Amino acid sequence: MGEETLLKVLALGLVGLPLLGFIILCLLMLIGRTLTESGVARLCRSIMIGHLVAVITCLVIYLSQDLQGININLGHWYLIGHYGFEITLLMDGLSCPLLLVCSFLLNVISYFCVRYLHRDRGYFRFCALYLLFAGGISLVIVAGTVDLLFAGWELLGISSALLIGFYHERRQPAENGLHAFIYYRFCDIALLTGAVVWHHYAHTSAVPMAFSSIETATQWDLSATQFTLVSLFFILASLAKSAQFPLSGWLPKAMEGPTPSSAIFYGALSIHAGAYLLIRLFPIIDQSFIARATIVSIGALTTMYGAFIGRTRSDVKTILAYAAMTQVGIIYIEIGLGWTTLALVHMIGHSLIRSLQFLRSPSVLHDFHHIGHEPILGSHSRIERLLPQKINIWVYRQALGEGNLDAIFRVLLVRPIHRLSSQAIKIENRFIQKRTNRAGEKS
Amino acid sequence: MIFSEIVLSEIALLLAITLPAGIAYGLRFACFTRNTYFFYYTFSTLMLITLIPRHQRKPKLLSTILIFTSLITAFFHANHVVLLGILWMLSVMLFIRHSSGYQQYLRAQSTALILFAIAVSCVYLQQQSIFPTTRWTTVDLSTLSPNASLGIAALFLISGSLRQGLFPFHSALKDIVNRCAFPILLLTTSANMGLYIVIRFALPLIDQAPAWFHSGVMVWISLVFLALAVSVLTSNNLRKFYVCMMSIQSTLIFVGYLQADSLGEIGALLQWVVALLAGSGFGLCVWMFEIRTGVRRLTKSTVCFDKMPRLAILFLVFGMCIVDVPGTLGFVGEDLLIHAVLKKSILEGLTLLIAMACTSIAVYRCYVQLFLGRKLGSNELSADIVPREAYAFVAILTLLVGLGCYPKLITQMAGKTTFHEEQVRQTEPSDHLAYSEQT
Repeated sequence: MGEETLLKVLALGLVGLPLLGFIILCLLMLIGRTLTESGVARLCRSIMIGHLVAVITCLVIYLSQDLQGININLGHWYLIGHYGFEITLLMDGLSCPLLLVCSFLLNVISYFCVRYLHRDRGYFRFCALYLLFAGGISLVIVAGTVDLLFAGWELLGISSALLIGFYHERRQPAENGLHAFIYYRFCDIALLTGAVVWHHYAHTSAVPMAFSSIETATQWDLSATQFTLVSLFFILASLAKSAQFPLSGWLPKAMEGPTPSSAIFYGALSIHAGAYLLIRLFPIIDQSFIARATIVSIGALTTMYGAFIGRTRSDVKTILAYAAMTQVGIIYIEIGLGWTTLALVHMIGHSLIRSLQFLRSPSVLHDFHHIGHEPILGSHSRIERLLPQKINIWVYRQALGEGNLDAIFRVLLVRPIHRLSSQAIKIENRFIQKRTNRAGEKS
Repeated sequence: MIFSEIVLSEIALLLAITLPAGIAYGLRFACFTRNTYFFYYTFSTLMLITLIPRHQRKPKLLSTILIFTSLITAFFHANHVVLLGILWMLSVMLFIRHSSGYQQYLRAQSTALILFAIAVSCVYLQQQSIFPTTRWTTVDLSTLSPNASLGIAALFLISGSLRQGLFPFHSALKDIVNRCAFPILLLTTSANMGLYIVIRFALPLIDQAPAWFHSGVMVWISLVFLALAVSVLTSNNLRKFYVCMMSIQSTLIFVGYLQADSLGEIGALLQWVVALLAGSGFGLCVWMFEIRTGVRRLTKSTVCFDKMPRLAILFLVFGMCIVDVPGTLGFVGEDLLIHAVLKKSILEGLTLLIAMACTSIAVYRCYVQLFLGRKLGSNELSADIVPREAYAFVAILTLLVGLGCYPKLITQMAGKTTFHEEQVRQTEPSDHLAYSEQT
């Protein structure tokens, strides 16, 4: 087998294996033949080990080619006239390390959840969604075109929302899942619009090789406004997945899901998807000063927002969620300043440490209550002692209310739409009623 | 007895899958849309009959389904405008049997038919020939005066919209939503007969119309999208929710055809197939849910996921497939449509995208309302889908995923006609409708 064919098989396996596992589990569930818990665990682990082997082999091939990015073209999914949906996978300095971390963490979680969710009624469902997520995140990382990236992006969103509502017998997690899904969908609009606009301006949907801003920027014949427009669409798309200000309200609510999913989604991989998108498309964003300034501003706002609110929470998973939000905010600042390599290293380090903290969080509470460790929350920091008491209290109150972001959204967006729709329904009903009455009189 | 019923159902299902495929292969897809319809209605008739629970298998319902599907299939195959009108009338007359409950609907249909007849007569008076069909057989509309062509286009548009129940002509759908047996509701909404009228008769005239008319239609479509998006998000009636979703699909298809380029037209065609397959799959899920629980309201959670896990999953999967789950045909159709529309106008593209996002949010909301959030006691009754129903759903899902993974099967076939149409449009802008099915 030639190296090219081997690469194609491996790249397909990376994305296809988890998705195949998901389809098998779904089909089994639909025809009413569920596997035993150990059978499902074995299937999950073997798929993940296969995934890791494929990733390592790809990495070895990438390293053997003097760190030259590899474009794996698998042809067109469909081709209509001049427009085609190209299936291109990319192995470069950005996707290879991230894939390795992703596969490693997925393997860790697949082992962890065997004990953690033992005898849970939803174990089968968890594994199915976990495999869907694995397929989605792999596709996002290796996607060589924005269209393909969008496909993985959607799978990520669906699996994330369903896992937030995993404990469905309670109302709250189910509604929190819906909450997250709404945020995701509206940012998906931005990604899709950005992808299509990019396609029409640049006549390509291929994403640039990582860390290649100088070489690739000259290929595109776009004006500064066009670059800014496309970049702003992509930035907006990245906000919900990475829980950046002001679209961060869903993240603490997402902690209702099982701990392994919180670890992998909101500690390690999914929360970095937005940052990954920005690094991947940085050669485009780099051409617009406004876009870069926007990223830095959003990152700075999120960092402050997450840090303030995180300090007022008493629930360990929520504290970790806000800490993750803060770190991703810092990663955004790094990207905006053009330090993409640092942002990548930061992302990898943060993924590893945060997933460890999330996985440890249930037992930390146990230790705290039974062994008597030091308090989880620290004492007052120096800054808090320096600030006047009035300001301290005001900041504390704002932080407790999470900056009233949800309330602002409710007042500015949800309530007007609801009022408009209820008025429209009233008018419609009145109209129908009038017509029915007139018909009754005639008859 | 039970065994024989199961065996019979399996045979019916097998026939449902193999028979239309065989016929379609035999006809070699001479005309894609028509064979799709033939395929679909054979499939759905057998599927519906298979899925109807034993206690509801009454001769009246079964005969209505059979007659209705036969009429619809014939409607899509009719090559003569008079025959088309008669078939349309006959399909409406099915409801006259229950006229006490369908007054609004019958009145709307009669108005639509009258408008259609007026439009056809106008063409006859102008051209001295019975109105020919447009997209698939030879036609020349260049002799029509511009004002007459605008008026006739408007008449056809209103007529088709009344038939389809598009905003603001949707009030008559209330009768169907509230009173119809679900299989009839499913066939009525998924058939897209009104849309067919619009595409076949009004669209060629809109293509020739001045830019302001075209823009007006696009503004109307954007309003339809926004109205439907709001309706689908706020609807508390399960059936109304379903009808709104199908209306969004019909509008999407119309938008695709309105773009008058190969991307839009093939996207619309794919979306049409998706509306037929995923729309009926979703409709069947809604029906199964209704049969089991008797619930039609979306105000509070009614059943627990644990009692009906498979139905819940299918509900979500089909609902999402209608929109854009990657790997299914819906994703391909949506991708093509969005590219086609955004290429022309970002604003219209955004309304389309908002409608799509609202649809998927509404599906998820509906799933949460119906299946999540309450723990049932062990003595509360509810039943998950039985194997024969599961097989039927898996068959539809296989088609959706199979065609989604290999969309070339459809795009290549549909592309042949569409590219030729586009070529003709580019070379002969004034007389671009003079082409024939054989080419």
